[in-house]
Amino acid sequence: MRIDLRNLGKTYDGDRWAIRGLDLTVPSGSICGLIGPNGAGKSTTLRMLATVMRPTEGEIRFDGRAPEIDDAELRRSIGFLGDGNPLYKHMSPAEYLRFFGECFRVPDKELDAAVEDMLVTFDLVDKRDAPAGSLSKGMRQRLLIARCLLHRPRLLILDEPADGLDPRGRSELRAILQRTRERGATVLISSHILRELDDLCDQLAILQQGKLVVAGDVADIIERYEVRRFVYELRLLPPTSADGAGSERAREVLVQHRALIEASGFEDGCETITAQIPGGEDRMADALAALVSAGVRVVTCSRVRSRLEDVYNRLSEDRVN
Amino acid sequence: MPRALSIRSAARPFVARALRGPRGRRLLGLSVLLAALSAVLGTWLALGTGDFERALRVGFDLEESRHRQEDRRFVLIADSAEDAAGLRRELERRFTGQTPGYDEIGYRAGNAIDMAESRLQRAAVGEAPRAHRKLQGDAILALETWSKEHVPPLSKHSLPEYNWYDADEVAALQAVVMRGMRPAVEQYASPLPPIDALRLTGVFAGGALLLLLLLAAPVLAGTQMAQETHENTLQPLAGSALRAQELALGLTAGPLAIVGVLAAPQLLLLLGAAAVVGHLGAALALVAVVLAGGAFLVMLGQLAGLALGKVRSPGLVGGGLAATLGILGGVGVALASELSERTAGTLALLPQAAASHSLAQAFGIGDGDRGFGLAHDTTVPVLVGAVGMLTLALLGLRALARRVGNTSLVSLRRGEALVGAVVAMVLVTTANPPHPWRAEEFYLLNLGLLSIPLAILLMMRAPTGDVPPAMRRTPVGSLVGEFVGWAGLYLLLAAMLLREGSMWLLWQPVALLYTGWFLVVAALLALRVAVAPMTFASRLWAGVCTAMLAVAFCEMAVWARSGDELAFRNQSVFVFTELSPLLGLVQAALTVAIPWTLLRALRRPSSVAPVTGE
Repeated sequence: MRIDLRNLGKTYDGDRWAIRGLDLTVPSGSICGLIGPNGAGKSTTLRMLATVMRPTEGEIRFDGRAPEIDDAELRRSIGFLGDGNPLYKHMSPAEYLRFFGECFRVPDKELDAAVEDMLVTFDLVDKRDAPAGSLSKGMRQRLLIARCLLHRPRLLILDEPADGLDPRGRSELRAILQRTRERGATVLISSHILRELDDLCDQLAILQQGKLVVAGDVADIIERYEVRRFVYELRLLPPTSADGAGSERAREVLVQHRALIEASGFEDGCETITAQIPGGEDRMADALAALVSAGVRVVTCSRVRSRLEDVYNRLSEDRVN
Repeated sequence: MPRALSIRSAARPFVARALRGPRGRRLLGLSVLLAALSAVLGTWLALGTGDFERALRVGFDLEESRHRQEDRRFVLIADSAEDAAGLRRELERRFTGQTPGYDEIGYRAGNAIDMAESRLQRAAVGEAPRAHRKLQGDAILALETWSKEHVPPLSKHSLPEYNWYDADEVAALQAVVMRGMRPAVEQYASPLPPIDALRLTGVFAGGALLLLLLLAAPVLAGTQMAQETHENTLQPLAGSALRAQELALGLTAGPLAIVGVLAAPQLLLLLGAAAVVGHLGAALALVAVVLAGGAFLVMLGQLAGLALGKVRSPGLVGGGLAATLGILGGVGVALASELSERTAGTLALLPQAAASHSLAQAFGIGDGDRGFGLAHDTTVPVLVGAVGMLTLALLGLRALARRVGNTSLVSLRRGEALVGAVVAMVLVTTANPPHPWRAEEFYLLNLGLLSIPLAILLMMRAPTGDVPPAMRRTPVGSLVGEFVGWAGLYLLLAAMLLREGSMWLLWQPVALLYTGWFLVVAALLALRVAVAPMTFASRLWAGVCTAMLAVAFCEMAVWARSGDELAFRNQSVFVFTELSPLLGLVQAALTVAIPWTLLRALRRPSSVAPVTGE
C-alpha cells in the first residue's frame, strides 16, 4: 500500500501544532522509519495514518484514495500498534487475539489457525491461557504486535514496537518485519533505538519540532549527510619477522598523515585499525602508499559507511517541542 | 452486509468476550441458581408456616392476621401439633367444669370463649333483620345454654347492636352458634392455595427482571464503557474493522449478554407464571416496559461512562450510576405503590414505576383503591413511556456511535435533537397533565422539568469532537435559538392544552423577560459546560449560574400569576431587594454578568482554561 501525505497537520489545542506541513510519500512494500525526539509528532502522525485520529489540515491518501469517514474497509487492511495501548488484563493471549480477529472480521475457518500461528511466531504458546495481566512487559508487547499482524494487514503501523523487548525479541521482530515486507505489506515504524532501524528500513523520515527535516531512501540520506566524515577500516597481517612493520608502525604512519585513530582490534588473525582521515580520499591514498612503503602488510582498506545514528545526530538539533 | 448480519457480527466478539471460558458457565450456573431462588422464595412465601413468612404474608395483605382469622372463623390456630393438643385439653377442661389453666394456652382458650360469649350477647340484643331472625334466636338459645340464664327477647342492654349487615360478622356468629361456644382447634397452615406459590414465583421473577434490566444492565454497561475510556482500550477497537455504529452496538451487546443470561430464566418464569395464574397481557407490558426503559438507561449509562471515564475511575462511575439508579428505582416503586389518578402519568417518565405497576397488575398484587393503582387505567402512560424511552434509546445509540467512532463533531443532528425534544415534551406532559384549576402547576413545572433533558440535548448538539476547543467554531446563536425554539414549541403545546387566558406568563412582561433570561442562560450554560474546558474557577462560576437559574425560575413563576394577585403582593422585580437593597443590586449585576461571561467564554474558549499539549 502506497501512502501519500500532503500538507498534513494536527493540533490538539488549536494553538500549538503537534505536526504541520508534512509532505511524505511511502512507496508500497517498503519499511519506513519515522524518527525524531520526544514530542516531534511521530505518534500523532502514526495515529492519523491509522485513521483513528483525523488531521486538522491536509490529507492522507492510501493507494491514491482518500479515506472516507468511518472507513472500516480501509481499517481492515491496517494493523496499528499505538503507544500506550493496554491489554485487557483478564483476557488470555488466545482470547485477546481471537477477540481482535473477530473485530477485524477474520473468517472463522482461518481464525483458529491465525491465532495459533501468532502464538507460535511470538513465542506465547506456553502462556496462551494465562491472564494478560500476569505476562511480562516483553510478552505483553509481543502480544500487542501479534494482534496487529493477525489479520495480515497491507499496512503495518508500529509506534515504538521494540519497547520492552529483550535483544532476542528485537531480533525476532526484525525478522518478522522483514517477512511482512516480503509479503508485500508496507511497514511504518517509529523507534528511538536508531540501530534497530539502521539495517531494517529502506525509507526514512526525520521529524523535528512537528516538522519534517528530511525524508527519502535511507542509503541516499546517509550518502548525502556523511560528506565530511571519512572513516576507514584497515586490516593488517602480522609482520613476517620480529623487526618487521606491525600495527605500531602503521599507527605512526597514520598519525604522520594526520589521521585520528578511532578504534583498533584483532579479528580473524588480522589486526584492525579504524581511523578517520579528513580531507578526502586523496589523503587516504597517500597514507595507504606510505603504509605499504613502510612495510606494513595491509590486506584490505575499506571505507566505513556512516550509521543512521551519525546522520541523525548531525541533523538533530536535539530539541523537543 | 445485510443489517441483521452486521449487527450479529458486530455483537459476536463482544458477547464472546463477555461469556468467554468458565465465565459463561459460571454465569449460566448463577442464572439457574437465581431462577431457582425465585421459585423457592415464591413457594416459601406462599406456603411456608414459619412466623417470618406468616408476618410477611400479613404485611403484604396476602393473609389475615391470626387474631382476625380466629375471630372470624371461631377457631383456635395452633402453631404445632403439641400446641393443638394443649388447646384441645384446655377446652376439654373448661367444658367439663375442671379448673382452667392459667398459662398462655389457657389464656387463648378463655379469650376465645369470652369473645364468643360477647358476640352472642351482642347478637341477642336489639332487633335483627328479617333474614337473620332465626340466627338471632339460635344465638339467644346458645347463650342461655352457656350461661344457664334466661335471656329476654329483644332485651336492651348497654351493649352496641350487632352488625347484621357485615357478612363476616354473621359468619362468625353462625360458627359460634353451630359449635355451641366451643371453638375448633386447627394446626396452622398457609391459607394460600398451592397455585399461589406460582403467582409469587412470578412476582419474584418479575422483580429480579426489573432489577437486572433497570439497574444492573445500565450500571454494568456504564462501568464497562468508563473502563474502556479510562484504560484507553477504546482506541484499538476504534481502529478495527468495525464501523462506529457496529462498535457502539458491540460495546452494548457485551454487558447485555451477561445480564441476558441471568435474566432469561427469570423471564421464562415470569411469563409462565403469568400465563397460568396471572394476566399475560400485563406481564408482556411489563417485559416491554422493562426492555424499553432498560435500553434507555443502558444508553444513558454508556454515554455517562464515556463522558466521565477519562476523568473518573470506572469504580466511581459505576458507584455513581448505581446510587442514582437505585434512588430512582426506590422512587419509582414507591410512586407505583401509592399510585393515584393524579400521579398515574408519572409512569411514562419513570420506567421503574411503570415496571412495578405492570408487575402488580400482572399478578394482582395490592388493592384496587391505592396499592399499585390497580383500579386506574394506565395503558396510555405506560405505552407512551415505553415508546418514548425506546426512541430516546435509539437516539442515544446514534450519539454513542458518533462519539466512540469519532465520526462527527456533534453527537446529534438537528432533526434528531428535535425528535428527542418532542419526546421529552410528550413524556413530561403525560407525567404532569394539564390541571383544571392551576395552569402554572402544569406548564411552568413542566418547563422546569423539561429544561434538564433539553439542556442535555443541546450539549449533544454542540461541536465537541476531535477538534481543539480553540479551533471549534461553536454556532452559539443558532444553538441557543434551537433551545429557545424547543421551549417555545412546548409553551405552544401547553397553550393549546390549557383553556384560553390561563397562561398569565404571556401577558406579564416581567415574567416573559425572566422566561427569556432563564432559557438563554440555561442554553449558554449547557454549551459552556459541553464545549469549553472547565477549570476550578469555571466550575464554581457554573454553580453560581445554576443557582441564579433557580432564582430566575422562581421569579418567573411568581410573576406569571394573575394580575390581581400581583397587585396584591406588590412584588419587586429583583426579589433579593426585599431582603436588602445591596443584595438586590448584586442580583441585578449577576443578571447582566452571567450571560455576558458565558457568551465571552464561548467566543474565546482558550481564554478560560490553560491549553494542553500532546
